[in-house]
Amino acid sequence: MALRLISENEFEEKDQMLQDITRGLMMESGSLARMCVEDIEFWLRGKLDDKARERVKESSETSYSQDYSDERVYHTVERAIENANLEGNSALNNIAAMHVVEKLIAMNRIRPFEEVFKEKKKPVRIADVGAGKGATTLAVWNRIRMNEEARKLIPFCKFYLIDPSDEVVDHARREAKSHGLGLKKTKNYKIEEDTFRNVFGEKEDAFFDMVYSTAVCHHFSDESYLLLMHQKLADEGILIMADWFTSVWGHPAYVEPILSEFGASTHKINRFHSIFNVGNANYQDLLDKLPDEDRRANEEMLNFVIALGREMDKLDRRLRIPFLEAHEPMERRVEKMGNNRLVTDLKELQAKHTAFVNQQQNIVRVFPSTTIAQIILAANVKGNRIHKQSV
Amino acid sequence: MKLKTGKAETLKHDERVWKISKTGRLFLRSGSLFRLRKDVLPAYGIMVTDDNRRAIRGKAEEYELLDLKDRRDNPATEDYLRTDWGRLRLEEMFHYAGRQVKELVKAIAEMKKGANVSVVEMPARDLPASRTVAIEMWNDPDARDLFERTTFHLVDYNGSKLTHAEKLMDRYSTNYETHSGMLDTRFLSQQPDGSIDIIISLFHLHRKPFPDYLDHLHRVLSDDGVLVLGGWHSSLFDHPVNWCNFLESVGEKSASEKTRNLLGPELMTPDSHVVLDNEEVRANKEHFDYLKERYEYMRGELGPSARVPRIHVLAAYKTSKAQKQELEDHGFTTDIGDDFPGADLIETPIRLINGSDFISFMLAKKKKEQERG
Repeated sequence: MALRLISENEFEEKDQMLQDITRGLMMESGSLARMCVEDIEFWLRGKLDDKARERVKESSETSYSQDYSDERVYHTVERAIENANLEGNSALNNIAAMHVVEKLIAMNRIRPFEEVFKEKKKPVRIADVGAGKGATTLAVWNRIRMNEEARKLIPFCKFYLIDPSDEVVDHARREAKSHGLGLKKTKNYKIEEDTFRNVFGEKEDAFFDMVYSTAVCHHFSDESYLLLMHQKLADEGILIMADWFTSVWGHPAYVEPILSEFGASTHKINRFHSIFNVGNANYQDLLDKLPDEDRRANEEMLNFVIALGREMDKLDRRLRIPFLEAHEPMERRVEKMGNNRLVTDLKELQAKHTAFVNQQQNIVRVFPSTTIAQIILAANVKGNRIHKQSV
Repeated sequence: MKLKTGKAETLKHDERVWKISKTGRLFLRSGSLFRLRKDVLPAYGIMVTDDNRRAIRGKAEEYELLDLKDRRDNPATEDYLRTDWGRLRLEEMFHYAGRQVKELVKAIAEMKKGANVSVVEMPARDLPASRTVAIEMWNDPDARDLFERTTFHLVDYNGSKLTHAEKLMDRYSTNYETHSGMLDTRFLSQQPDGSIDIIISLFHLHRKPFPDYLDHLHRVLSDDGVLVLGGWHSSLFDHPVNWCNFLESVGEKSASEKTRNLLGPELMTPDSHVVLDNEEVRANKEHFDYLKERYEYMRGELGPSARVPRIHVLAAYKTSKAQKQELEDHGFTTDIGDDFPGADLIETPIRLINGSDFISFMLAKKKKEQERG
């Protein structure tokens, strides 16, 4: 049976209903557009038509760009992480950095960066997408510093730290300037104060040899960002994506305990239940059906969102960020990467990419017993390139 | 000026100094002179003698305990000292410690062939470096199996911090024990000689004015045991003129004048024989700027009539060179690479900030008998 099409008007109507329900709560939902398109479609029981999809893409980017405009939001999120007894981005940064450096070393062993530099007169270009204060790249530089072989690569590398927020990028600038590797501005690094789409959009295809991101891609509702990454990565360019993964936004039943904790009235919860056809679904039943490690991931995410709401409640309402995000299960992300010509299959990588020949795992769980934090190593392989399309 | 040598006059002199900050209701206070390294006390008018040594040590320990109790009972106090820049430095330090300790655990486990590896962290705090070690071990296929053979001991006076630490360590199904409400010195006194393989002590040695603290660490470490150190380095308060300059920079001229008058012009004249390298000079500047920025922040947040938290600035900071020398004087060496073949260890000390001595990371091992000379 074909799915019914969801028009732009219907999307806006349901979006408005949701925002009305959550208005005035400890944390508001924000737009449905913040979620992954697949989850929006599940919630609305249909398929977004082209206009609706375009609308989602625009609204999502606008919504996320406003999130971290104030330092106090960062501190609030950090307190929530602590209160929920979670590890924050530091662990993701650290382990992502480990993989970045391992791959840089592997790439160099195949074709020395110095040789490439002499021949092509250009450095190995590495992008940090959503660099924020530079913590991931700082972790990369520290790993490099701890490794004699990696240190020798620095003169032939250039890191691009990309983030639209001027406040956080200032931090990144200071960090780069004071880092113990003695990096040179413009030669070894460049701070790009703009959105990833704008920066990548301006570069020619195959510009970057490596792209990494930590805890950023769960802010992209629409998968077109993956196509952009594929296009701007070199023929054997490597993508290292570290992120938080969960399926809590995949079913509206998961949101009910959040609404309850955030002070929604029974009337509002019933309205939510009705608008989004929750039916007999219950979040606890959904959790119980999951494998242990996925259940733990969802529980941890719910705990975090609730802790975040309690912290946000102490903040000026104008600064509070919404709670909906585009987290998704790792399997779906991997599938989308594949759909956008990024190779994630280990055997294929081992067979077709010289830097992955000895790779034992390319999807890595950062913590035991939970799938909430994972790192995906993917790459372009020769002959796999999609030629330029509009993204 | 005649230096104080007797017990009573020493205690009185110290009291006069710290009371200036207390009665002045300064947002950041000097605290007791006995928190400083004992070798800089002459610059502040005190000579350590047999007559006053015990009293100085006793008071230093008393103040350290008061500080710990205060931070335990008033956790918000620490928020005044936190900066985003500082947080990133902590994160960096944990990354260094995590990676290096993981390598050490692998190497020591190999050397011990089946026996347990013990790792002590003190103070562990709410975000222990041990959990970074565990993350590193989990993400290294060659180290993952070592969880069963590794026991972490998390020592902290502050029980609520350890409760949080436990929740993070619980992720790893690793063996760990928490020692809550326990001072590091007490914990060490309960350990048999040579019983610990690795001691992690980050941002802590500046609380120890007497370097013989290192002897306690030395005793409990095994022959192949390693001390993992990281912290702030500065020689800013090696001379009282810098404390007075700080007070003046934040507009506390009265407190500065009182201190200058108390110590007298002779002590307030900087020692021209002290030679610092560029990195050490920069460290002092960064230390100064950090305190000034925090003072202004607290002034803005608290205002003139608010209750001022007990935050004391004077401590036993030293340059990283001096730290390294002190380690050597107490039976340690930082030249450890060859002792752990196969371990991917960095050469230390390593300064985390380009061009500054302000923060560094060090690995130190017990010197072999023949090296002690």
